[in-house]
Amino acid sequence: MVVERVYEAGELVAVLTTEPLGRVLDYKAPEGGCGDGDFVEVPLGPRKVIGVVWGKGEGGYDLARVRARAQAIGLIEPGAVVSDHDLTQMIFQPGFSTAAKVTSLSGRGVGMDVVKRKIEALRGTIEVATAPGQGTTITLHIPLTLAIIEGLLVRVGHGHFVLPLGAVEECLELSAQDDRRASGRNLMSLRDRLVPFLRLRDMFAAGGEPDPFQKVVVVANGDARVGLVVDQIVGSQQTVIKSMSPLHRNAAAFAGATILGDGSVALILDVGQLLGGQLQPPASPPATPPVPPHPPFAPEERLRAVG
Amino acid sequence: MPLVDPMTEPQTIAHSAIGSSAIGSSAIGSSGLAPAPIAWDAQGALEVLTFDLGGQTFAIEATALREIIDPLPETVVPGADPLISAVINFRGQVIPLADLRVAFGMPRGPLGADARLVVLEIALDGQPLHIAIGTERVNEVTSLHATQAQAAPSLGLRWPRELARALVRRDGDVVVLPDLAAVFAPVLRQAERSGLLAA
Repeated sequence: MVVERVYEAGELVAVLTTEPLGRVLDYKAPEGGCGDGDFVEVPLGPRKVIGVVWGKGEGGYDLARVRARAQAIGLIEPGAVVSDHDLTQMIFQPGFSTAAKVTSLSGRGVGMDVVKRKIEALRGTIEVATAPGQGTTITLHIPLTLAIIEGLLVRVGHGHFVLPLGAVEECLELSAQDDRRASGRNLMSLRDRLVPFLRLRDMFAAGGEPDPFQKVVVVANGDARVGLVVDQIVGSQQTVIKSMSPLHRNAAAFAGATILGDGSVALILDVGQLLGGQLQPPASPPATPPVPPHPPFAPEERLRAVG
Repeated sequence: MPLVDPMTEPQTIAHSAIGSSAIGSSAIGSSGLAPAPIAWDAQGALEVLTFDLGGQTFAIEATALREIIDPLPETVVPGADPLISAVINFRGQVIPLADLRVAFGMPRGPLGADARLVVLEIALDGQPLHIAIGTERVNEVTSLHATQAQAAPSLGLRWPRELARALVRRDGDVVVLPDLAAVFAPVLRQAERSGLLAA
């Protein structure tokens, strides 16, 4: 989950360094050279700093146009004293654009607003610094530990598990029809699409009787979709991610753990792993790895028994 | 448990674990193969906590001990090694709960009415790690003496002798000083391997 979110941030950087930044900042890529912008990554203290140095000595940022535009849409009063720093932050206002004309792709003032909200959703910040002839530097501050996520708490057997809410597309009941014929194939049709589903009860070798009406949580990762069959959907909640010990690294279905209100521990499912197809349901419960860590008998004992 | 005759000579089992810095709180060593040295003090004594599990008395260095707690709700981790099949909430920290009976080939069952969890801080691959061990009964903090200790014999054990750093005779009984690094290292190796595969 954490990796996914950082990756998401990585995508945002990619977005920044290609289209919207070029549009919003009127950046003109020089012939060859730093057309893609210099990408600088500086780990600094508890927050990770990703700086995008844009167009050294080129392009830059026409603060006069930013000011004119800000006055035109009433963000600042005419003649008001506004620092350059405050002016540069104007580009994150929704609907703000310095583009002279609106096209189908740019000029509506949406891009940087969306970028900023995405970064803030990660509890990060975005800063813009510019100086004439020095180009523009966009700095993203993204926390190293994205420790709180919105999660969907579900119950499988007696165990509680958390699904990252960002990956959840929808929740529905597993129809009796899909349930019955699922012996050979675990597929259900969802709005004219076939979606495979995994029975978490089987995967986790959960004990007890299954609830009569099994629920399906459809999770997505990119274009891939899979339905996770659970006993009960408890609800959404803020989830503080606790890391698992390195001894549990082979339990790849889980991105971490969290502590519920009653003090018990719930595991956070790693949707990317689930969709990656690397997890297969165990052949038979209980779920034990094939290789025991230690042979049950020391070879010496067997020798002795023979002798 | 049948044992070979006790050695007639007192013997200390302080191996030279190269690269292992097993002192102080991380007294249980981190080295992969060489057993961690036992930190006998100048008088040849070692302060330990003894507990019972599966009919055997074990001893853990008191320096590695963090807390003795009543059993807590366990959360089973599907797909985890049976040695560490669950996690618990230890003061807001999610830590693995180990069942040493798996490593020592003992039958598993309920721990009983006197069950306690012993929370330890051990060093695995140089990383400090909190881990809880389920016990049937916690006895006492006591001193073991180097003169009573001997290496685990190659015969007469139901479990690999590398798992014990020493057997110590005490009050007519035998106390096992387990090598927790050796107990957990295979799990860690396995976890890292599958972690690499997954990545």
